[in-house]
Amino acid sequence: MNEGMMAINRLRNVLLKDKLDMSEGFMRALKNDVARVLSYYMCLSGSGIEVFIDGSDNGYTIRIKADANDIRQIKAV
Amino acid sequence: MAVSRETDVKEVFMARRIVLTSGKGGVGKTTVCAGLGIALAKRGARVLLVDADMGLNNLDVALGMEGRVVYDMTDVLRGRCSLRQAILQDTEYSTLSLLASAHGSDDSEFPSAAFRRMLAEAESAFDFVLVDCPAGIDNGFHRAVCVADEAIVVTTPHVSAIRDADKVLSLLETYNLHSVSVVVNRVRGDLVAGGSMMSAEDISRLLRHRALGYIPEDDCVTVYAQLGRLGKGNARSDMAMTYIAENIIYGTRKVFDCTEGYKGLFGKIKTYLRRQI
Repeated sequence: MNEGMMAINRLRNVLLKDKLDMSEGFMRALKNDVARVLSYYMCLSGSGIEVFIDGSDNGYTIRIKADANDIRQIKAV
Repeated sequence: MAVSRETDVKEVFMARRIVLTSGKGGVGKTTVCAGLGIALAKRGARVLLVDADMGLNNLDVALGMEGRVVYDMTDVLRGRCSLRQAILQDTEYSTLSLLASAHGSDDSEFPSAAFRRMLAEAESAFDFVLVDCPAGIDNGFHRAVCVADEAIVVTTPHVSAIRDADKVLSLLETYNLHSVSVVVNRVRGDLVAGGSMMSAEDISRLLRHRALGYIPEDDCVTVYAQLGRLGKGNARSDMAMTYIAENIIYGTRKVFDCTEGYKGLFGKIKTYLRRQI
């Protein structure tokens, strides 16, 4: 990898970190909202939700890790 | 498309207020503002350059007008002179004017509302009002951005400058601007062509904003700036500035290729020689 690519990767990480640090509680708010939506469909276990955000050229890659005990039975109308 | 005829310009133009900002100081914001003003004026546009950097103004110096400033913005706001008296016309380009700011004045003397009223009075006589914003994101930034409809964020290819530009871009989202674009200044074409530096395209992609233009690192800027003769030579940066002016006027997306001249065998020789010197 040349210096130019290394600089791009470094800058991407710096900008991503700044974005996540910019508003305090951003991750907490995101986790709460994700947990609320997932709980409509799953019975989430108490281990909590983990959110990973990585920057890419086209935007961000968001990975969510959550444990559930059961899946809710939903009847579509 | 012919761009130099005044009649063309008057048909296409509406009065537009554009703020040039950066966050970080020393990225060439004032130089870009002056160069862009000249490039627009060369196309017949009536341009007013406004130095909103209260206390640390230098736009008059960049344009070589520092010796001609009699009244400044402070005098207008305090009622010592009319706005017309404070606006200086360039001697070479009759459609280019400057509203200077007071050197060493107190920033708190200029409320945003008064600044906005003053520019509202001036803008009817111009096609473009370019506002040179102070560095930082405090009151001066707010005052300068408040009067604009469009913003140009100037950055250099340095991580610290790009990081600050990103913060400013986020901040600009909270203002009622209908266009925000990026200009990457002082791009080293030799390093980009050799893969040692990220390209201007990479930077605008990472900032997720449209690139209005790329300006190459150019010794001519240093030489002409110290003489107060920006845009009056035939430098590569002047060509880049011309593209930016045309992009603003016509909405085109033509950008200067900073790596031009550094590709191929001769380009490699040129890069090698530049590094040795």
